[in-house]
Amino acid sequence: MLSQKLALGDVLSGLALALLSVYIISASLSWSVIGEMGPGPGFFPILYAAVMLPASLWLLVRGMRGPRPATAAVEPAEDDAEADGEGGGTQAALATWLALAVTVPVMSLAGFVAGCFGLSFFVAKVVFRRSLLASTLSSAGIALGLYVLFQVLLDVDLPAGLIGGR
Amino acid sequence: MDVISGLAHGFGVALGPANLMWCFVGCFLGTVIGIIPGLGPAATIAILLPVTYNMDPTGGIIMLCGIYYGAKYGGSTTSILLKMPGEASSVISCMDGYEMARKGRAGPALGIAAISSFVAGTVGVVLLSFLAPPIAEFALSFSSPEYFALMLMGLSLVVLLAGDDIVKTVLSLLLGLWLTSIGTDLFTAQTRFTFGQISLLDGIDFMSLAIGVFAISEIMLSIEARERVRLLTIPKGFKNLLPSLEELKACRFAFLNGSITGFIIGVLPGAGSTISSFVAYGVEKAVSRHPERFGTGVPEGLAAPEGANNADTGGALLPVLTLGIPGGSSTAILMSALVLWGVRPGPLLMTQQPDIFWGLVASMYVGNVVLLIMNLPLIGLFTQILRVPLYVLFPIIMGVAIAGAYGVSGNMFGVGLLAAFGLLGYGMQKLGFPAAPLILGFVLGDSMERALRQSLTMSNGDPSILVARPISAVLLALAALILLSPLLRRLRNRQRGPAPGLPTA
Amino acid sequence: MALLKRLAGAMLALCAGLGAAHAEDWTPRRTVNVVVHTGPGAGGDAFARAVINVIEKEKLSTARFVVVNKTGGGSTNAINFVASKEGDDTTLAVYASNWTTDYLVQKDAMTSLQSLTPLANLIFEPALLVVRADSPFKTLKDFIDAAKAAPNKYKQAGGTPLGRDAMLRHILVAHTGAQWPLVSFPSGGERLSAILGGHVETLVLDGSEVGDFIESGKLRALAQVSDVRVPTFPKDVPTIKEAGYDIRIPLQPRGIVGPPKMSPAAAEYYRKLFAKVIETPSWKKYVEETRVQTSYIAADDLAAFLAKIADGTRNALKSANIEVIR
Repeated sequence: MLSQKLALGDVLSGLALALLSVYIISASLSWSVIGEMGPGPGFFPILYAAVMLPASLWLLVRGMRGPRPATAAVEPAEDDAEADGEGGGTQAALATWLALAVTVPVMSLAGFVAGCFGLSFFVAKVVFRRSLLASTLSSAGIALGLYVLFQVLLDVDLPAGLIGGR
Repeated sequence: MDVISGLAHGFGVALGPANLMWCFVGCFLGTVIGIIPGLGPAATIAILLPVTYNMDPTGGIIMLCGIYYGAKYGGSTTSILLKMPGEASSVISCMDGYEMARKGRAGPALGIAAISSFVAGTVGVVLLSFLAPPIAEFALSFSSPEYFALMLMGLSLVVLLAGDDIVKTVLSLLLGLWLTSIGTDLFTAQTRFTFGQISLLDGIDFMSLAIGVFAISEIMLSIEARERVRLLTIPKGFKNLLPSLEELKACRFAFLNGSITGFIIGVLPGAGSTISSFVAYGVEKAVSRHPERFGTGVPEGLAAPEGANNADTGGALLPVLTLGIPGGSSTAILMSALVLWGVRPGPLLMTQQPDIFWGLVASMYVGNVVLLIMNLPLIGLFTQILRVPLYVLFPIIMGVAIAGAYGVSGNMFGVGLLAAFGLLGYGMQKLGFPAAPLILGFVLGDSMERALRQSLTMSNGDPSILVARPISAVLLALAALILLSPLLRRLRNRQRGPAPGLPTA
Repeated sequence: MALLKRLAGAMLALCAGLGAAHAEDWTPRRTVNVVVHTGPGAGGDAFARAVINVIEKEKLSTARFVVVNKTGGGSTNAINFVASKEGDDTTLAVYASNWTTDYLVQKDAMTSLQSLTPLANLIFEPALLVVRADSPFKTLKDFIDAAKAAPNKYKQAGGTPLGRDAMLRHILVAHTGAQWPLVSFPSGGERLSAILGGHVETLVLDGSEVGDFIESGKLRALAQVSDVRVPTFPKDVPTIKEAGYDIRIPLQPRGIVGPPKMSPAAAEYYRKLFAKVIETPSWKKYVEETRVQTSYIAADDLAAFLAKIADGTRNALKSANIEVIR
């Protein structure tokens, strides 16, 4: 899918997981592996990391040899995107995620309602290209509706902002 | 008092107008909080506890228990419709439940979840009424080596959850094992993999992980696929709101499997309903004649775990009522409620306070009927959620997910994790890593590590304790059988020839 | 849940319970948040709710008290949260023994319990050291002698190594030269099934967990983990000291503190409030049912008491080879 010569995704994920297993093993060795009262905190992580390391290296090597013919078949999302013939789908998905990630600091600063409004507005206006009015109305409705549902009706605490506001 | 007269007495208590009302109130509240992620039965019972102080203890415990098993009913609703589990025990219901909804069978999926919950919930209560004392003894015979074998058997189910790429499946599982060991080690108070974050000291919350990996990544995938108009087909007509006869027939074994698996694992104080739902799903797939279709929306793949997490309630209440041993946080609170009312759960409860014991047991029969009657008409209403346009629906899902993650963790760090796991789930999907093994590893890893270390501490380091005991030996043999099952199946199919291996259902 | 709670309340026809307004100089004008370090239902949370329940039932205050669960890192998130509320008169916290311990071993715990505003210690939770009813050990001496003769043969079920039960094991081991391992289980339920199933030999059971295990003949108590005999425990069971082991008993105190720099008027209000709480019939009923001991320590003596607990814990941790950072 990405390259004919090597499956880049497999290589990168294999590499990342191999590094992770090395990290797990080195961290575990710094703790007690077998203590006087039985196995220590490093015991179990070493066990699974010892399987993880060869498995990830296998994936890495396999990826360098090229994509497996069998795997390309089952990925519905990909098929749809290709059928659509548009390249912007991935960008839209990542932009949505970025908006969610940005919402975290926004909420810590300005509270749940503001953060939820911003996120909803972004999704409606930018991702789904709704009109300004529809986006504003729906976002305000969602933010306030969830606030009423959780904070008022169910008494579940929502993130409160540093500068006030829920 | 024998069981029949005890039950007769119990129904007399449970069907009294006041207790019937409390049963209804509890079931209703349970359904509501089950639907909402981040608001679980344990917290709700704790919050409502003071309100019940002035109530008659029987009515109080009937209501609080209604919340407990009602939440299991409600938990699957959002799993099916939005791929957002409402409770931890409904995570695996996302697999086939959501796929059914995608195929336009949202109504039948909800119906199957409700019916399976009803059947298994009732079987669980029947077993609780008739087999309580011997099963309590059985539960006590489970020690750490047995738990280790059980968890290992659970992990071996991964070969059944696997996609066609076994390396990626195993890596996904191992990543789950790593994620679950983040936090403070129980045995030594050593912090592991916390990167200096206070919020990680208690580990990663399961709901942040499950909602991130399933719901958030699903939103990203649909946006990417430009399903801008409509995510799911909306069912039309009454016929499409309820499961068909064929679908129910396909679930026959799943009802039984869910009931038995859920009950047995529910009885064990060290397991829990999330594990029982996973095991029931695995068993269902292991014995299925068309395992390859699991994960594409087969009704039995939904019925088995939904049944299991409801039969689990009968099982989990058994050690509480007969031994005074709570297995999970919900049952622990129910027990502290009983103690506050001056009722001592334990071996003497059944004989000394038959009103409470049999009243509660009978109310659970009633409650399951109430829940079924309450849930079936709601199906029509719930499926309307799918009519909501996506630019409104997606922000609502994300908003609810944020509120849930915040509610569970109590800080914004939990929300940050939710976002991170959303990206992880999306990335895994794009790179061809299945998500279910990650979740399975996360659920089982912690218990497995504990059971292993407990066993080795008990035996002073001698590993033979793991295989030398009869129950653990049987479970380990089962694990081996499950691990080999894909191989066996291939052999069998080869003998039969390729064609009859795939019967249509 | 507020609405549903109110609804259920109305159904019960509960009186609003506003009570007669007292002529106090200072009363809370807002909802009082009671911070606990556990999730709903666990020890600290259950205790806080029980105290609030007494206040509401006996109409001791006009204010509404709600529990705020700040879990994370044992008590660390909770104590840091309380410290951040400096000068706030409507935040309280319920502490337990780990509020002392965590500060000593976790570098992320920036605040010591002693630096908060002391209000009152309310209870000590006593415990029983138990074995299975069919165990060969009839006395604590039987068990310890056996564990001396066969080191690491017998096991004790427990939780975290920082817990009171683990401390007790360690102090006993150090005092007697016997040796037995602690097997950790995350929940009380699992510990109980381990001993009832005969997979471990002994267990330290908190008063509130005792239930009817002793009366129904499933477990036998060898010793009371308390300095004095507890009236709600079986009469014939000696304390550890009476059983012949003169050791420092690790305490499990629970009480109330406020944020640093709470106003003196507010602190005075809460002190009077909790002094009243322990005198009420509802409180006495609670104490009886959960087998805890009222141990009221007034605010003036509380700081010294907490400092003493911290010193004792520090010594026990050090001798248990657990790294103490403060």
